[in-house]
Amino acid sequence: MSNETNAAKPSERRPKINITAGGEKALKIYEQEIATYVRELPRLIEEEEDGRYALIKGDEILSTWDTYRDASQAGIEKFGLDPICVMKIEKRNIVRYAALMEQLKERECQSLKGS
Amino acid sequence: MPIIKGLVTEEGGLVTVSLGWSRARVRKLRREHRRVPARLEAVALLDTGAEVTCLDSRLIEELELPFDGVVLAKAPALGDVTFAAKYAASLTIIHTSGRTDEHLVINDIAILELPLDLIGYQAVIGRDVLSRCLFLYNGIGERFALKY
Repeated sequence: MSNETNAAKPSERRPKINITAGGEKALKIYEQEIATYVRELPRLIEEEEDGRYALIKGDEILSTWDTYRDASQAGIEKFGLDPICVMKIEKRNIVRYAALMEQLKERECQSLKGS
Repeated sequence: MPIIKGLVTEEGGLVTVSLGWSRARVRKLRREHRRVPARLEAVALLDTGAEVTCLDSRLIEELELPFDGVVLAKAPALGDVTFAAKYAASLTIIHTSGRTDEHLVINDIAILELPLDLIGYQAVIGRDVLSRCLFLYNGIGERFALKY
């Protein structure tokens, strides 16, 4: 058998990311913050921020902190009880979020084709 | 160091937890003379396969927990990588003695929302919490111990 026959398409090889109902809601609330995180993550990793926590608002990384608690506290001081966005800076998330973005893009294409 | 000892049941190693709003947010609510949502107790599975601590969607709703971001994490019980909303909370693992000084208290923790009722659980204690503990799982003796 040829390799061509055995090779799965990239979309078939990639494990599907399970998006929960709450995740769907959060995708809308944090659309900008997720895009900011994805965009800035490689730079943050390069700047050796891996393992720290980023406080994100809109298209800006406001600050980075050693612990979740510190980032959360900073968010409360700045935004009170409004929803804040604290994201862990992790190298593995570069690949994971790239896969998520691709999956969302594919889903959007499918829904456009369907409509 | 406190130690919780328990039996490994058919559902695994289970502990009782108390959940509520994070301490920082409770302070903020009180300063603003606003109602603090009541804490609730749940039974949680000690799960070294879960990256982060998770709570069933219904309990998140009951607690009225505030959004805190999103997480892409491995939650093997519900498939591979899961994308879910993250909530700011506080978590206490209740020591079987009932003595408050022996509880494991985490005042600020990010908790993942998952439809855990589908697999028969209320909460899952992940490696974010277990990293603070010594967790011994004796499968042959059907016992576990959690030291912190």
